[in-house]
Amino acid sequence: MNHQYDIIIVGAGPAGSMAAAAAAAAGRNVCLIERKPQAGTPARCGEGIGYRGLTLTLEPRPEWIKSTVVRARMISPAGVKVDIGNVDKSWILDRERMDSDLVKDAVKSGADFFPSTPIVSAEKLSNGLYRCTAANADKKSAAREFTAPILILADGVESRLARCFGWDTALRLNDIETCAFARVRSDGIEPDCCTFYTGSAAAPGGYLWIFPRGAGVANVGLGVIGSKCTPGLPQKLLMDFINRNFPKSKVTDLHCGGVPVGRWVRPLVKGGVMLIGDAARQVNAINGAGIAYSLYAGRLAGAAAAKSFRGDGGVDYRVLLEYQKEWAGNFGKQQDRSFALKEFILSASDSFLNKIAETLSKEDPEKINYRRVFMRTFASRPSLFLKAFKLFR
Amino acid sequence: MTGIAINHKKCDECGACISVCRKDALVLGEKLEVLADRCVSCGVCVNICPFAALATNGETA
Repeated sequence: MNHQYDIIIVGAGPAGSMAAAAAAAAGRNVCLIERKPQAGTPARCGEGIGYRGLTLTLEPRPEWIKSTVVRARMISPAGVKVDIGNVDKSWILDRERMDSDLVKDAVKSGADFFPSTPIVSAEKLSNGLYRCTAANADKKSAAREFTAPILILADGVESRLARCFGWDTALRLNDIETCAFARVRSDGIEPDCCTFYTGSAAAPGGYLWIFPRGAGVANVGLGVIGSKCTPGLPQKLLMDFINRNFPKSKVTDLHCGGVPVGRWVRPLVKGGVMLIGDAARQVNAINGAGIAYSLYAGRLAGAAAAKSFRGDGGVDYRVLLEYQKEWAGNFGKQQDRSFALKEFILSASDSFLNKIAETLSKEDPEKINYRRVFMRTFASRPSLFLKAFKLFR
Repeated sequence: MTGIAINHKKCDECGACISVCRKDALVLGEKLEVLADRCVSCGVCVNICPFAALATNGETA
């Protein structure tokens, strides 16, 4: 059966659902297609987000927030603890709940939602429309087809569909963190503190996180840079860490995922096809944060897509470029900066990290914020300091 | 013979392998599949898998 729409959105994560809600609210006929039976399950995510990042696009709802974080602790490879007493307010989210609510919002705005519908191919037809074809999920019905003049791809880190339109989205091994994470229940977990472990033993080319989901329960996970990964290494490092640091704890929801940590894809728009979220590699290259970027990009893309429909029923694809322009001037710029400094952070040796931690551990925790950690890191190398200064000025 | 073996019991369907495949030889439909006509057995996906669900040439994951 063929479904015809104004706008097809593939992938019902935060980016796709925001795009669907924005386009449907503007009066367009929109479908939101999801591979899995339920969007956001399992949540492949550390679930942390900063106050500014979230509130730029959305009013956070109390039921999404598992904990409010006001301090952080960084632990160096040698075990030196640095308490950061003055962090910007941030939240640990219930991504399953948030993702599912964002789909509901899109449906309320008028979008049609198709769960359990894996799109396996996409193409441009001779009549100018884009067609997406779903795998024959239940073997009884015919393959489902969707056509529309605009196609928004929010199909996540794997984003195979962008390749159907000539994008080379394959990630270099230094542009992916390969992650494993689980939910850990243990009395020692503090509800208002994020803990990070660095170094080649904890997480080669990445970091290990403990993000509290309330008192006594946390999202514990780690990322290994692709170039240093061996089969199953993230899972092995994670389980070793949990067994060592949280013996006899209850471990559930063990999952894995890839996080793009490169540049955002250029261009973000080709003809009537737009890329958003992880599919567009819209993730902060230093900390792997992508929720705020996805929400923002999704809403921009959905609004631009809706606006591109002219009164006569035609579509002006040039309007879609407004999305890329807005993105590039805001979070796009921030991502470019983090990417420019990533190579250095990747190359930082354990002894270098230990030295910085020792310096910082002697300072008053209440006076330490992320900016100070950043400055200490870069001040130790004059050439880098200059580079960082130029980028962030 | 090309051969990436998938252990579906270990695979969490996260798609990390797809994101690094230069040949577009992996597809996540109902579950993960290798397209044998595209796969060159380079093994990048095997190394990247967080759960060790993939193996090359006759080895089992």
